[in-house]
Amino acid sequence: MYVAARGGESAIRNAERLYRDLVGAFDAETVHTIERAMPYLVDRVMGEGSLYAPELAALALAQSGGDLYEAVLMLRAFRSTQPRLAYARPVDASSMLVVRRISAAFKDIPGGQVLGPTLDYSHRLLQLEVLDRDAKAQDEEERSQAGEQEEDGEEAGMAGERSGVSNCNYPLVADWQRDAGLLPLLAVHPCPDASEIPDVTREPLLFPAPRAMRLQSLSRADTGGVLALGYANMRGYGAVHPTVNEVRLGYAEIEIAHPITNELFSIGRIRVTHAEVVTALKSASVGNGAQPDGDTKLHLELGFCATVGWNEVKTIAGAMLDLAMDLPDPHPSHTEEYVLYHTDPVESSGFCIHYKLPHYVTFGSELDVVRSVGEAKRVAGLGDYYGDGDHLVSGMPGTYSERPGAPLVPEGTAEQV
Amino acid sequence: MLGATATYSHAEAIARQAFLALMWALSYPGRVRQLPPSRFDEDDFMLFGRALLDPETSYFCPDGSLAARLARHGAKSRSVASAAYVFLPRLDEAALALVSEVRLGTHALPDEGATLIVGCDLDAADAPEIVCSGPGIEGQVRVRIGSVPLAFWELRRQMIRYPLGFDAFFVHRGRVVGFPRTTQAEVA
Amino acid sequence: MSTVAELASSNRGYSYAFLDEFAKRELRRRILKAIAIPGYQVPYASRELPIARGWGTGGLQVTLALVGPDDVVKVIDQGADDSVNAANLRRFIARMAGADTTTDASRATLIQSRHRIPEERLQEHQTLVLQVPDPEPLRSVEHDISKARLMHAEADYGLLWLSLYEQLVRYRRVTLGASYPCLVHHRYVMSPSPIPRWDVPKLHQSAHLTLLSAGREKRLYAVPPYTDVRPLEFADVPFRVEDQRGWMCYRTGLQNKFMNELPQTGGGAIYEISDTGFVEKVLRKVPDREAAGSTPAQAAVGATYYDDEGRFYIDGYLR
Repeated sequence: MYVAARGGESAIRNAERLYRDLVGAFDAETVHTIERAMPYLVDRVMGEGSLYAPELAALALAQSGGDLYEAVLMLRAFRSTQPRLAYARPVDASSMLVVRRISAAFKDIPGGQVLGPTLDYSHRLLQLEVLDRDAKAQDEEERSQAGEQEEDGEEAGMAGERSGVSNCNYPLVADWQRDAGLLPLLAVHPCPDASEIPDVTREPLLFPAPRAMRLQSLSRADTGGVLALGYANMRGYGAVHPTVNEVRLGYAEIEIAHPITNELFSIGRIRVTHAEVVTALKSASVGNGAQPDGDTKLHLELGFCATVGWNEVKTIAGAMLDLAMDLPDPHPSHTEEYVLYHTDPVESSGFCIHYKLPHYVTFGSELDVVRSVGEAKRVAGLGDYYGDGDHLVSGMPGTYSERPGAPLVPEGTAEQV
Repeated sequence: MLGATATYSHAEAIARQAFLALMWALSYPGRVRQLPPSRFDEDDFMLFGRALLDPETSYFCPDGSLAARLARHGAKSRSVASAAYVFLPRLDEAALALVSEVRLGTHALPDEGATLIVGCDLDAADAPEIVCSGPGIEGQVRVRIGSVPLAFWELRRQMIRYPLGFDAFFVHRGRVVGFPRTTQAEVA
Repeated sequence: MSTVAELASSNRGYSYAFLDEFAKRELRRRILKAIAIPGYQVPYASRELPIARGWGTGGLQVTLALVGPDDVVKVIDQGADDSVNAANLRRFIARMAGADTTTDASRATLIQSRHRIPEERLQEHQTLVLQVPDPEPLRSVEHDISKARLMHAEADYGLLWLSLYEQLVRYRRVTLGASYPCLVHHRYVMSPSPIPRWDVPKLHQSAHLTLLSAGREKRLYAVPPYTDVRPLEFADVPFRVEDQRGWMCYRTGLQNKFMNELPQTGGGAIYEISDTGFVEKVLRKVPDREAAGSTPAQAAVGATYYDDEGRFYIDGYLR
């Protein structure tokens, strides 16, 4: 029987030991190798884990054998235990150290297009020859190539702080649009008190969500989940066809106020990604921008997403979703509640794997109903609804007795998913 | 992996026990619960402040000196009409006017109704007896609550439109009695 | 003078009961409101724990906000103390809080459970924490949790009643299994978590406190002691618990406790009582045939919610 997995603690110990045997031992060296060699993977874990800690993210990856959802969960669980020591000042995107920024909306932009480190225009060919070289030859070759690569600037690694960073400021494309009267001016208000900004990790998420919570949720969302919903939008389940206004990757200075002197000082730099998409909308179709003189005017609307670490796919898809969620009658899969509830990596993956837990009590309760319905119909001369025993289980698609109120039988009421 | 069990400090212990006293006081309304003795130099109100307040919530207290001490817990000071926790060391006629202004929550979020922490006299033998019934009470329970104007009970009855309402704790010398909004309280 | 690096890395160990004091305080504030508004789902922030979401993190957060070294903790999953998940949660709680553990429901001060309420009647000042996968009883008639919230605000349960009525018309009975919706204190419809219908009456006018918590969905709610909990039923079609009449536990020979059905090779099934802590107590009480009298004195089996004939202890509750 299934509860053969009983035996409690010793079973748990053995299962974990087998897992460790399979994944193999790791040490600080392994962790640092991961941190150096797989910066994009580390960034993804940090973004979804909503904790900027490259070494801990690499540790989580090593410990989980590279299982992303496990690694993100470990990082989030660690985050739960950390005290909040201070609030950082908001990062001004126009002053971040840009390594890459592109706009699809204009051929050229103030400050220029900066391609920076990317594989976008590379040929995605596996470098099979790497496998053929013996380790010694490889070492030598790497040493001799090191110089060349630095000149090329094509190394995708994030040592780019040295080679790729440009220290001049790049004005935001959106700021140019604001000055040109294409986008509404931002309301001038003092920088909000950080402690007053709603925080999705400290307060429950209710809908409609404050914008801060929406952007925070997208920022820590599952890359694959945001991509899936964003892609559905891009394919046409949304009325908008946005253009990438600007994607910007770089390093942001994190500043906090000294607790005693109140002077600002930097506690370090973090990698960040910021994406903005833009589309033209009828003014009357958007609540806030409604014009008094009818629906003939068009205006531009922005969608925005940002995250810690460098992750272009998530931020572009997230910015499209941000825009789609604000439309008056979004596709059901692009409503705020749908998007934010279904893209959390920890919640979605956790619930998915929880189906492995025994459910024999709920299933027993379900069988009781199935049998008694069959009995009631037989007594009433209506025949046995379920026919033979084999059909009994296979004939119940979509039944799930943990969902309160869901029927246990496949037909009928409006409850079907 | 996880380290050894972390220490259960005195601060941790009294905050937890003060909370448990509140939880059981609310679970069994009308019964008097004992509060934990605090080794810190703090009165009952400060003890509840320790259990409930931090920068993520708000409070109101008309008593200047208590308000200043409660401020140490870091909660936001708010008006009586918008505070989550209302501390009233004495419930006199003036304080009664404040009670009439506390948050009652909304139908969508009734849990936003305020929590009142009210000083009283639980030893006054001549105090009116309050007959309580409702959730947490098997049949009826009676409790004497002194130094609380009779008008309070009528005001409370008028203000609570379940599920909207406020929840109250009456405090006196290391003891607490809970009155959640579900409790029907009649003056005997 | 401490540096930022020192401040930031000072926490190599973990807080008592894992959660930091802010997280515990938030949970505690919410728990008080949940008790004050029986059956109403209080939203909360819900921290991530080192256990996967959907594996009891809601219940675990509540347990961690309550537990202390003076507690005796029991953890059950599907009625069993020794299932892997229950063992895992129990060792986590014991390790993070230094609390004692037990399998004896009457000795426990704090019981965390997935999908069952023990057979022995819980007493005053015991706390039962139920893990909840989906807190929303209206989910089947309204997918959007924000719309469902409005329906609760307006006590608009018409659609739910209608769905029960449709089941009745089609199948001649209400076809809900576990998670049977109940009306709490005559106001809020609540999901009692996926406990079998057998366990639902145990929440009504109980002496103990029940806290229910969904970590993934970030909602917690409560059934205070001595509070009315009524399963939704029609005047002429009463609520029915699982029909296990005639099923006998192969381990204890008892009937009329909630049973697991164990399919046998070649057809047929045998049955065992789902509550393993209860079975343990019953078996200890039975004198060992070979060494009668040598068994040390054990806690007596307490009064149960259902007697040996299957009668519920509150007369007239089950019609």
